[in-house]
Amino acid sequence: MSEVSGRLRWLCARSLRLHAALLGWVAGCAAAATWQVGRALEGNALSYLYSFEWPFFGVLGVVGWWMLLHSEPAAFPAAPGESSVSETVSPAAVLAPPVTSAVSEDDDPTLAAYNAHLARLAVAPKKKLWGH
Amino acid sequence: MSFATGTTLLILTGTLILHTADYHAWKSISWFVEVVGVGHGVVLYPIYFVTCFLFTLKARVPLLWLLLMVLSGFVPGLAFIMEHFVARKYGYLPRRVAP
Repeated sequence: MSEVSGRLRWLCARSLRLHAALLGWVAGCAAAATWQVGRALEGNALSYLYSFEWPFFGVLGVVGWWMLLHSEPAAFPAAPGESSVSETVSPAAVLAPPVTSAVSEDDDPTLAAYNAHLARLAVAPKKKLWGH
Repeated sequence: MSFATGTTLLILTGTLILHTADYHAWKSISWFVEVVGVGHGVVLYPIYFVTCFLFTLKARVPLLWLLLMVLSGFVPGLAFIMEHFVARKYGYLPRRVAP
């Protein structure tokens, strides 16, 4: 299951756009770096700096590509006047009593362990991620 | 950040036009061009570049918008246009609501 989702992550439309953008970006950075190296060899002192900077930009692009690839796609809050997911729930479903599971925690140790795990996650501090 | 990057790029574009129109006048301010050029290319744009990526991750900005924001460091004037639209959609400017 995780292998399938991993493959989808790399081959979905958003990821393909990211791959194309990365290719364009890295090619552009490589071309600019080559140009600046040529100018530096001709004697332009400032180009020495830029001939290091463009590869750095290329590496930053790769890092950004990796981070974007492993982040969730866009999910914007609904604008005024637009319907959101919560509005599509019927009032009857909201007013209905909650469905209780036929299996209680006492009967199923796996369920009890899972609920204990969820409780620990709720109490523990959230793991710090890039950009979150 | 985009205003600073965009302003320095506009100044550099102006000096490029001056370089074409009046080389002697440009030569007299070549030190200024170097300072602004290095400030834009070495200091401001790298910071702006990283900021764009972090903002994209945080606000889930579409990829096209990210590309346009990144290109704002190369295309004169684009930084101001992108700042306007990004600020309206994600930031402090209010959204336009249809009457």
